[in-house]
Amino acid sequence: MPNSEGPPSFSAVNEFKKKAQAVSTETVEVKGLGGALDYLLKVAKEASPASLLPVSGAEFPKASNRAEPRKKLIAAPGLTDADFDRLDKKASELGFGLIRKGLRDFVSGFEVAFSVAAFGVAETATCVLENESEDARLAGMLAETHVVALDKKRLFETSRDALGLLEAALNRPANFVSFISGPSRTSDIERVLTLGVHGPFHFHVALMD
Amino acid sequence: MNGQERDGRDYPAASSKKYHKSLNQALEDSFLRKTLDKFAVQYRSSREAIFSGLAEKELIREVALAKDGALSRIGELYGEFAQKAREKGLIVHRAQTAQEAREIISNIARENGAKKVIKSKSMTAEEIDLNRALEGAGLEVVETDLGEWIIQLRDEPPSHMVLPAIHLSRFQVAEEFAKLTAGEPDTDIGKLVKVARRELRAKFAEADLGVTGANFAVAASGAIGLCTNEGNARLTTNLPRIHVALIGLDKLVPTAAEALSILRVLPRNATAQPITTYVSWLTGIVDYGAAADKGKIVHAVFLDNGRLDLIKDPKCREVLRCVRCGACANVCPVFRLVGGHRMGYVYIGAIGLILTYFLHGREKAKNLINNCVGCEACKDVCAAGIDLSGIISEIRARINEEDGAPITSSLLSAVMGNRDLFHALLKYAKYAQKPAVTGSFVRHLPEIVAGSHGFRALPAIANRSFRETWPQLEAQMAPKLGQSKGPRVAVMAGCAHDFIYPEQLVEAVKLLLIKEAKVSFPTDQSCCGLPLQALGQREASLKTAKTNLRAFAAKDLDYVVSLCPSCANFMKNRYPLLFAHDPDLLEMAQNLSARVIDFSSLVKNVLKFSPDDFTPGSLKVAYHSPCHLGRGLGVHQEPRQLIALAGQYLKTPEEEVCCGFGGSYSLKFPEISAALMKRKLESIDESGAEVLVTDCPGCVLQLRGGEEQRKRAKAAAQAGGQAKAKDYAQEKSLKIQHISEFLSENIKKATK
Ligand code: SF4
Ligand code: SF4
Repeated sequence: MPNSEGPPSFSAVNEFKKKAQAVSTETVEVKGLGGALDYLLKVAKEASPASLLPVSGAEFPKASNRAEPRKKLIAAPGLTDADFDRLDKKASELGFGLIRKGLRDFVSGFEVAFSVAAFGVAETATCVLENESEDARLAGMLAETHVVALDKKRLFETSRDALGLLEAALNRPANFVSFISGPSRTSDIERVLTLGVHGPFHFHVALMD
Repeated sequence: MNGQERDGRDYPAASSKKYHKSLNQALEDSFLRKTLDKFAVQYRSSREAIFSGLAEKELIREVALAKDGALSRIGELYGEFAQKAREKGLIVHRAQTAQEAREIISNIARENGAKKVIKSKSMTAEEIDLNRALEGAGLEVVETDLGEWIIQLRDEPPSHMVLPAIHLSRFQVAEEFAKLTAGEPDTDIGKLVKVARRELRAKFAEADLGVTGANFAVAASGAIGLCTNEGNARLTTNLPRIHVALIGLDKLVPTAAEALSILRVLPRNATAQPITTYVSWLTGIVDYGAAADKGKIVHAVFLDNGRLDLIKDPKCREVLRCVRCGACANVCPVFRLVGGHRMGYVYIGAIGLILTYFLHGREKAKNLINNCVGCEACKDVCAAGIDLSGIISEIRARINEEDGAPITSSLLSAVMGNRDLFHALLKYAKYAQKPAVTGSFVRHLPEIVAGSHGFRALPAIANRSFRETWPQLEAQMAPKLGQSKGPRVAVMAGCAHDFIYPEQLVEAVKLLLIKEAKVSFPTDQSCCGLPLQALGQREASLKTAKTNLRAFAAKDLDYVVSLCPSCANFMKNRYPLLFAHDPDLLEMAQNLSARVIDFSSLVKNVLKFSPDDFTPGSLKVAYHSPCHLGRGLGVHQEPRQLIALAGQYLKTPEEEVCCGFGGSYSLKFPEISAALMKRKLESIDESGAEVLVTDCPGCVLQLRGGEEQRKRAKAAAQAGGQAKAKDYAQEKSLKIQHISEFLSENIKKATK
């Protein structure tokens, strides 16, 4: 881990930003987790309402009521209680719903998910997420927009530089490790690139100082 | 697969007759042709861009080493994986056959009371025809990769390993989707993708069993790695309670380090992406939230299905390095013309031809395996550095040995394997063709060989072969040769130059003399052996190769030059492999290999022709790079530099694409050979070049023959029917030259 103790490598940050552009990932530099959460709220404000997919047995469509306009939802399962409460206050002031549990009930989709990356790789603009808990895993799969906070000090030049971390993650008794490099995409129809097939349409990375 | 047809679907290469019919249909499919043409061109440039600045060959070598290392101790790795994964709660199975794997997975479904299965794309599942087995067991099976889902709805096999629905248009997709949504077909691609998102999300939510393949199985941690762009594998592994990963034994790697090496090449080679959008690594049993009392269940089913036998096959085991990037199809000129349904049984492209033989048997492979022009484009880009084109000819030889060779190729090999008989027959042919010759072409072909072969005019056999011309040439040169101080160069004529185009060789010898090379022509040389190898005639090929080892054994030779890069490539790169079993012959083969050089490299790098030697002409000159020179011998710059020295070189976009000759290939697959040739000539037309230079007699034969035929067709059209020879002699046409003729024509008079 070349940067965990020292200052963040600016060349790696720049490389990440450059490579992110090529894969339709939006990047922003922020101050700490607080900055990342503020950015999350900004993204949520701008997000268009999710188109709910008809799924039998899923909770949310049943709960949604035409008379009362449905709230935009943010899922942030990975936060500590204190961070979650702080975010919840701000979110409800802005009229958003905030969830952290039972993500399986939201399989029809929702607006925004927030995750914190374990580390990142500049060469490919990749965020690496380690999620043993189902809610943390599903959040980034079901949302239309995924915002990931990545600590600049945990940014590596190449995946090989992070081999030790990957091996440690895989040596755990159970783990689901995701390399994510952009929004979900397909070129399966006439090789035309289209974003948002099964996963998010939009992918944001907040690079934290 | 015990030879049964998959899903009762038609297999285009089931018989030779059926195969040709299907190939012709594909050639007439204008959507397919346009799509694959565009794809070939875009893939080439985006691949180049994504590898720029990286040591591509080095990265590929790393993949090859990682894979070879893993394959050499596959049993051990399997044991390690199984132990680690079991410790973490997985259930690990090993299936020896496709049938066994199907039963294991059907049983898992039955024992857990599963009703609905979702799948993320897996070629291994295609290999064992899993869907049919599960459907037979009463399960609903839904593919979730968009392309794979589309072809499932149409009940078709994939036509590409990475882009399974590349053969379909948005209109065909819309039509299929309209049946599901009961609405008007909307052909907007963005909307079509949304239909898939909506329809499939419901399937994800309902499914109780998810099937995936695996790109890696990491022994050290019992983890599997999955690459996708759509994110469907993530939902497939997470939403249903049961996850079954079907994994070829070849997917085992010792540690995550090897997986990362592969990951650096695989997405770049597959889709020119630095990495796939998602790479998911799964280990152990993660929590499952739907029912607290019933936890997640994960099965890893390892598939042998012939893989372990293949590991024991020293000539072909490297096939198992394949990481399924699909690149060998993307660059294949035959794939570009006819698409994937005609380039493999399940796996597609060069690797498809090969795996059809090893995994699905000789019957399925025997027509397919011949449909390779031998251009080596696949080998050149393979993510794992597999000698794909070499293994394809090895398989041809095996099929011949197992099945008995077709009578025509046996006859040919009997003749070519016997030098005296071969030369005597050629002499006879020269007289026999007399009445049919116009200029340097055969005017009309006997009925039996015409028909679909009439796409190019065939060259006449020369009046005097090079070997007949040599004594006189040698006598003329004697005074000069005696005092020359240059390198000692022996000429390997090769059949085409010896008997069809000796004049090209004569011009070459004159050029060599200008720079005082000591030229010799060992007359006991023979055919290089490549044509026999291509026909799968291993013994005859070895025999002629041995003749040449002796003919060129003289210790004092500095170079052995061939104007035919196919001969040069075969002698340089294959001879040492042919004689690997015999130390004495191997040493001779290595000595010869070290001396073999192609004509352009000899002229440019050794004899050092310079601008002072030429009076450049004013015509625009395009270049066609022979496959065995560019990719085979790795010679790219020299011929282009020489053309620029002696004329006005005009770069054209498809210089390195095969002209379609491929020796006997053009006789076996005339329809494809003709289409490749036509495309080549058209691309030269589009460039505005007036001369086309190449450095291979086979390419000259193919392209001149094609140009002559175009001329005849044009004259015939103007004359309203059969044109006379004198009519088409008037037609203006593209001048096609071997580089020796071109250089000789533009050499400074004083120098001569
Ligand atoms: S050698 Fe050429 S024609 Fe044959 S499979 Fe490879 S790319 Fe295709
Ligand atoms: S054979 Fe090579 S090029 Fe073809 S799919 Fe396999 S790894 Fe890719």
